[in-house]
Amino acid sequence: MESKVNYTLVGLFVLLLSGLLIVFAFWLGKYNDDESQYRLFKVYITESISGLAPEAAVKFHGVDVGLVEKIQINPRNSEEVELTLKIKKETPIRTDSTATLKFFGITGLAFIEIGGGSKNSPLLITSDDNIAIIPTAPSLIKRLDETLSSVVTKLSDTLDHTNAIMSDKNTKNFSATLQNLKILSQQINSYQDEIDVLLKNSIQTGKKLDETMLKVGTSADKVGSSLDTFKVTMRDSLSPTMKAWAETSKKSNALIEKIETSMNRGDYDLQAIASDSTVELNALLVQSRTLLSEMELTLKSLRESPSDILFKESTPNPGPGE
Amino acid sequence: MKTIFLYAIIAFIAAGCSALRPSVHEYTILPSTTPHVAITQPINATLKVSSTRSIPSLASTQLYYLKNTSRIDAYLYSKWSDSPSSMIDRSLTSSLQNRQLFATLLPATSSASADLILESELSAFYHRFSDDSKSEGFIDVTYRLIDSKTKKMIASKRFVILEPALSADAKGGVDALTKAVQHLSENITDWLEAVGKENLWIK
Repeated sequence: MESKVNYTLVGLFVLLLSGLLIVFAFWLGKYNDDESQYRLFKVYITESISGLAPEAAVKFHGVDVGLVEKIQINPRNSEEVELTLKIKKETPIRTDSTATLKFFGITGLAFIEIGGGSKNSPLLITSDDNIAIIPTAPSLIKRLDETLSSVVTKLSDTLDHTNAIMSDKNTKNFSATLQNLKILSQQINSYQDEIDVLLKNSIQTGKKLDETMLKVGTSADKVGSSLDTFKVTMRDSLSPTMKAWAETSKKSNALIEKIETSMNRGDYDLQAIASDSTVELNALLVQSRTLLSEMELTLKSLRESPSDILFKESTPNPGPGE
Repeated sequence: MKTIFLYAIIAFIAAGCSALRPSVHEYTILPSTTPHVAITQPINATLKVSSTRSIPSLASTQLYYLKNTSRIDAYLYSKWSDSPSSMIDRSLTSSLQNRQLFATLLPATSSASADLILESELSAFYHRFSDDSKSEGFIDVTYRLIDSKTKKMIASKRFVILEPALSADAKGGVDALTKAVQHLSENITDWLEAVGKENLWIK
């Protein structure tokens, strides 16, 4: 038996299937995505991005907004990993937004979470020529790592200090202090009776002090009245003396006025009195200087030839032309 | 015996006093009689000319001469009538009076107070002989003008006057020193006039 096959239908089916396969392939390769609907951002991370692969999700407050376009070591700084993110155009990435590496549960797969960014901050402007950089925030693992490191360091320091405090020497000293406290306590107990007596005496002394203060007050009143009496006595006895003093002062004033008048008149002008004598004295001094010089010459000649006073034996040298 | 001894002593003394010596000539220096032209606007201040101070040997009336630059001796039969300082003062006072440089001029002996005081120190006043038997009158004196109120020195100058002597004897020395003193007085007067102009006392 010979079957009749409609080759036309088969051909159409094959063509349709091939077309569908091509459409599926394009869908699978996301060639239908409109690149103009995305913007590129860069993120530089210093920690390990193990678990993050290209095409990994980029979330904004938990909402898928894009994917990791490219991962590479920063060619300008080998300590950083450069991530290129492709994020939907309408996503409000702001200047204070931060990118954090996060993980899906315990699977070890990582994604980029963009958070932060207050609504008042300006939007981060980016373009293909000048791709904007989103600052990074440390991931949970890094924060835990840092915190634990810090705690461990501080714990280590505390243990060191504790060891230093609890040294053998300090332990012995502490024991000795406790022993001394014990002895002191026993001694205080033995002096209990004496302390009671001391307190009683203090109370009695306080009472006596009150009585003494009362007596001092009475004495002060008496001193005040004595001072009043003394004042009256001084006034009565000194009054004649003060009068006599005032009289003497008046007479002294009169005498001083007389002396002043005489001085103004020139009675005691020593300069005027002495001026004539001074002039005469000066003239006399000049003449006496000459006389002294002459006497000195005469004495000199006598000293050189003493017999000249009687015999005039020496023959002095005559001057030129004499 | 005692009387004879006394007479002998008197005789000795009489003999000593009666020794004959040639007469001593006394010289003086008179102010210059050459007429001076008085300045038209005198300094409106009182000047007192203090007595010139001198070294002790020049305070006497001896007429000294210098030989071989340092040997000093006095003429035996020639003397000054006054000390060299007095004669210089007299000559200077006369010169200042003739020129009428100051409104009032006071001598050192005046009791009146003055605005300015002229002090001086005489270092040399000799008849000096040089090696080639020539001689000259030699005066070295320093003058200082002092403000009597502030006691501050206004000006100071040293004058060294040399005047050749015509003869190498006391008379020649006296004549040379007389001329030197007159020149000195004129020089001091000129100096005071210049100081007056410098200090704008004379316009």
